[in-house]
Amino acid sequence: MDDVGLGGLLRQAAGGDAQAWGTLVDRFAGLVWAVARGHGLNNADAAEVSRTTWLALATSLGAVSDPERVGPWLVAKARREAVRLLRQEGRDVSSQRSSDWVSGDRGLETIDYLARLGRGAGPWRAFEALDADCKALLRVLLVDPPLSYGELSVVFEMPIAGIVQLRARCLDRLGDRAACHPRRSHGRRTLAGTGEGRVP
Amino acid sequence: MSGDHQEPSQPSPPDSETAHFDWPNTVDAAREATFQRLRSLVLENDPVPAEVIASARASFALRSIDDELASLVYDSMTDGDLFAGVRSGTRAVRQLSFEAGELVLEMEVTGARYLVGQVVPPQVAVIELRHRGGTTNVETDELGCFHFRAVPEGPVSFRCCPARPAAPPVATSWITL
Repeated sequence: MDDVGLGGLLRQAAGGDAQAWGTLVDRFAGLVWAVARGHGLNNADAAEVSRTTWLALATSLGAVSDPERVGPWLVAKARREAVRLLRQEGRDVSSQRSSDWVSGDRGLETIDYLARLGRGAGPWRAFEALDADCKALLRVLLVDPPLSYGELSVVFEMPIAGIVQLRARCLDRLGDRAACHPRRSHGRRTLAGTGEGRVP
Repeated sequence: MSGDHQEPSQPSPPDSETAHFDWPNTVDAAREATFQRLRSLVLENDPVPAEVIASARASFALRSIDDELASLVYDSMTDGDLFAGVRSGTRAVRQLSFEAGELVLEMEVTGARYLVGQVVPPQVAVIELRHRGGTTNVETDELGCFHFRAVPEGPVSFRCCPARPAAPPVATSWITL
């Protein structure tokens, strides 16, 4: 991304330029959405996370001066809000990096919805069954426009080489799962209850 | 602009469904095909809803430019492992602290969305609760204590306007309770 442009947008928005703010929203709305969805939230909850995150940035514009930090700042805020929402509803997310998130009702709701989509349902179910780390990473990597290496490194707190490795591992798991999923029934709790789809 | 940005290897923006990340050491075609399939799935099935973008744009009008910003410095819901009560379904009290310089806003919210708070150091102030539907004002007592009976759902922000002259209003960051 054009970081000089991003810095300029930040300054203009902080100075009250609504158009610059709109451009910031266009640039990062997909990222915030991806983080919320990557936590297994449904549409309504992801919208809530998004709303709170953008309001927080609007009131903190003066405090985020480094353009490279805007993306990571939004990711951190959206993650925090997503985790808070999950905790508020009594879902045990004490280990944010556990592989059990998909067993929540929201995960099932997503899967049921996608199961009706037909063609893409199998691969998507396979994606939903990935562990939390993989889902979070892949969702962010798929964001359009993509984050820079510098931003990714800050967001995932690891050097880019580590991200590349994790990405490869996640995609390999996904490839394996997508290949075996069409054989499964569509019964509720299938993914959650049988341990199917877990990493061997 | 930080110096650790790696210009030559930066992923290029996708210009079509077949756009390809030039990831170093990642040449496995099957893997990349999986990634591209996933990209198509996300584009087709999970775009950012228009109302989410509209809401993000609209949030610009809700910032308070002249107020000092009080940041959230403690939230029992996300800081530390103090949410066992919430997790077990007993709806524990949620504690929050916002700080702006010397001024602190302490709050506790119960499961029924009843909020009690205190301005520290203790002082008389008007507390404005800003929410999606508008604003609600209460006045603190001389100890700085205040309460709201039912905090609305969705993002909220608190604005503290001290009664003593020349003290600037302080607004908290937005938060969902």
